[in-house]
Amino acid sequence: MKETKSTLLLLVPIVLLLLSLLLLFKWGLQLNQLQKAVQPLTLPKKDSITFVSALKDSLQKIYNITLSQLDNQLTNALVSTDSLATGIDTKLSDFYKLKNEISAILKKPASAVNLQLIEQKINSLQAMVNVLKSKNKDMEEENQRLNTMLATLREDTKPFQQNSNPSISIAQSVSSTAPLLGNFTLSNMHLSALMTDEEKEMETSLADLTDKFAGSFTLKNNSSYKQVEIAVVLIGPDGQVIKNSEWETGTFETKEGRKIYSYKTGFEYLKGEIKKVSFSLNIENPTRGNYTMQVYQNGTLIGRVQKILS
Amino acid sequence: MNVAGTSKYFALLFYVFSFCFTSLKGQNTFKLKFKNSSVYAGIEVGSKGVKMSILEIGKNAQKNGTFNSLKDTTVNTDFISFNDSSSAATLKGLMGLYRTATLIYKIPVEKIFTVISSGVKIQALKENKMEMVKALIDSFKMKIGDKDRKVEVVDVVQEARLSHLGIVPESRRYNTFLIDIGSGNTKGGYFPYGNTDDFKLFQLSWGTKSVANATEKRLEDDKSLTNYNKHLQRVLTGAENSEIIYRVNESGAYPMSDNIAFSGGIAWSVATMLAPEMIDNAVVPLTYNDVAKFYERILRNYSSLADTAITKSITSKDIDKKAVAKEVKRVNQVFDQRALLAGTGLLLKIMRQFEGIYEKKQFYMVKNGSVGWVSAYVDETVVKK
Repeated sequence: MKETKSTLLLLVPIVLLLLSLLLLFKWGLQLNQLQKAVQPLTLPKKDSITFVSALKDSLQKIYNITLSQLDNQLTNALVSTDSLATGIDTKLSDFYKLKNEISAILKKPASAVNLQLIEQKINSLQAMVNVLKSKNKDMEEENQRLNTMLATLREDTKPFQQNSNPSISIAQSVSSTAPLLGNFTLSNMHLSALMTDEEKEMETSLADLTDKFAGSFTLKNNSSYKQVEIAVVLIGPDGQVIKNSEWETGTFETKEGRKIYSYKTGFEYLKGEIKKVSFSLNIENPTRGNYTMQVYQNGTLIGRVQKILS
Repeated sequence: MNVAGTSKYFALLFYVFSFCFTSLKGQNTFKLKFKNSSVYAGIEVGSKGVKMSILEIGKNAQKNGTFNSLKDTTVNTDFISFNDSSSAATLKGLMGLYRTATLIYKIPVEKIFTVISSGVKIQALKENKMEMVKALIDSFKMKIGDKDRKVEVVDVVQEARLSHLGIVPESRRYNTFLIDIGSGNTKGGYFPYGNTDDFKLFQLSWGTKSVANATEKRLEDDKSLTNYNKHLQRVLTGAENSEIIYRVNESGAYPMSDNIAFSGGIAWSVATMLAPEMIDNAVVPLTYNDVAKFYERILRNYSSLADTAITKSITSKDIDKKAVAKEVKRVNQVFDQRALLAGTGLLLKIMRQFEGIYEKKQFYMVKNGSVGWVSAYVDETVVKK
């Protein structure tokens, strides 16, 4: 019994030892596999330097290209700002410099003349003449291009000017023509016939009831003016100009000659300001027919609207 | 019926028909301009004659200054000679025009106003002849059989005040200085205190004719236009320095007025020739530069002021060119080149006093200023009753 017990005690440490050895072996195997897996991530020293260097070079290249492009743009801008004068001047001064050098060499005694140098200089002079010829051609082309551009701009402005003419909101009985070209943009052009009933003013379309006309419009411009003169001419069916009183009328100059105005106003105008002009004109014995309101700015017709009274 | 009776009968018949025809014609001659207007007549006994003006006055005449001169008739009588023949001629002229107004133009007597001008009063007082003025008035009343007829002898302030009230619309009454440039003198004024009772009178001893006469006296042997212009400038400079500057400053009108209105013959001439398009307008706004250029035009391009040249310059189709030509012809009949230069020169000297560097006044030329008083008279004697 005592013998069996001691054998068991001997066997347990042996098993434990074997188990430890087995574990150690497995751990060693796993460590080896782990090392093998990590190995491709680590660059060899020589390759890593090449990569950094290549990257740096490409950045430098991009930087240089960009810089060069900027330089070119700047040069182009500088050249185009004065290409028609400075460029030619420089080339011409080079041309004369070279010509003088050749003359100076030719003036030297024949023995001292270096024929090769003269030939070289004459070739350069010839090249310079070609450059000047080319510059001249460029100048002509540039001139042509600018003229074409100007013509295109003019063409382009026409529809813009036509489109920029505002839509005129008018009463039902008012018919209008598109406002004509002028310096100011004219919009919201209205002409109303008013009747007075118990001190209240009401719009009417009947001539017999009309006591006065009321007109209004809005002006806008993209420039400032120290003095703007706006004249309104209201013409009745008989062709006569309608006036408030004999003291509130006068004449003004237009391209078509001197005209009588029904209403005149003058003001200082600030760029972009929306200027509303309104006025009223009393009328005695109005007749049926077409009443035409014309708006002139410094003698130029800029708008026209009609009202029919029945 | 014998031959004499028959001829008398036909003569009477002819007279009746003629009278009826002229009456109808008279009534229909007037082309009225305003709605709800009335026709009035003003008869004025002036220094040189009797003048009748027939006016259409609108309901808002005082508000808008709207009156329309329909007819002007003058009978030359030279009343200020104050002798029997001139008095008789003046009475005859006064009677004739009154009858024309009542019988031919059918204007009711209450719409006919009769006055004796300030020029007559001044001269009568100077020569102690007021009894002759009174005799004229009494004879007139007796002849027309209306002892209550009012024939007022107006003084210079009253005349200038009435002209201002009649010509200048209510809206501009208290900021307008009215100056009437006559042939022998210049008078006018303004209302300084915002009421129509206080009137500040302005007077100058120079008029269109007196300037022209003073220039002519200086000419001696050289009667050329160049010499006339040179001496005219000297006369005008003298008038400006000795009187015009002082009178304008003394009037105090500069700071009180925005508008300076001129009436009288020269204002009518300048307005007619410079703005022919405004033939129907009694008032024409002009600038100092417009008048200065006009002076140069009279001097250097007088032919451009002929009626044909002026009508040719009108571009508008709606202007009555015949009426323009007629009026321009009238101007050229009243003022020749030298008289036009003298009048325009005087006008410029007065305008210059109001032509500030910073503050610009608005100048107006009133064409029918001489009849403005009738409109004011109507307002003061009829409307306010």
